[in-house]
Amino acid sequence: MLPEFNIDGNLPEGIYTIGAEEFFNSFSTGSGRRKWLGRQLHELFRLVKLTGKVERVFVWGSFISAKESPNDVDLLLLMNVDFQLEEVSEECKCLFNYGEARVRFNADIFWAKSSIDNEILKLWLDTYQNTKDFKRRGIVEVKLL
Amino acid sequence: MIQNDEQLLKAQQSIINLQKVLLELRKVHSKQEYRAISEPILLEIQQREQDILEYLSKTKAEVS
Repeated sequence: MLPEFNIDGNLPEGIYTIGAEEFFNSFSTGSGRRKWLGRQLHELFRLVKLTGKVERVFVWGSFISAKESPNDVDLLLLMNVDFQLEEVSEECKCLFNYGEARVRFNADIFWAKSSIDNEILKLWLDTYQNTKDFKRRGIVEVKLL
Repeated sequence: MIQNDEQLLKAQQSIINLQKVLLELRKVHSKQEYRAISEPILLEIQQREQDILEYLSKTKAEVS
């Protein structure tokens, strides 16, 4: 269950784990822009699952804020240790090409293998808990499986 | 946009953090993977560096 947005319209600082259904019910309803971004994310998540190698998915930024019309979606995909970029199917390759994913899904997709040091992962996620105006905000981890 | 010295320090720290992330990513990914992974992070560092330069280019009067 997600907490209420804070006075700045962001989730309070922290990492909140929710299922895909709650994620879409919470963030891809309301404005036409949110519904449209939600449809892009449905397709994006379908491809992520199709890789068969995803372990964790984190989302942050305006899409998970109270903003009526978010610009885009920011994601971090954490892939299995045995994930190999060169073995990704043609259909899923767009996920791992920053420019292509940006155009196709209106999403900034960051990704890494789960073998990265856990402290560095924490540092990475902590850095994205800062807004552009230097306030703290929450991140959502979406359980796809 | 950076508006004061405290925010400048936070922006500098976020760049250091992202550089640490890049160094770790380089250790555990292939050359091809690292090129793909590093692109958005490098863009982000570049944007934050630009914000810092813009703040530092202002006079004291313009900042306050």
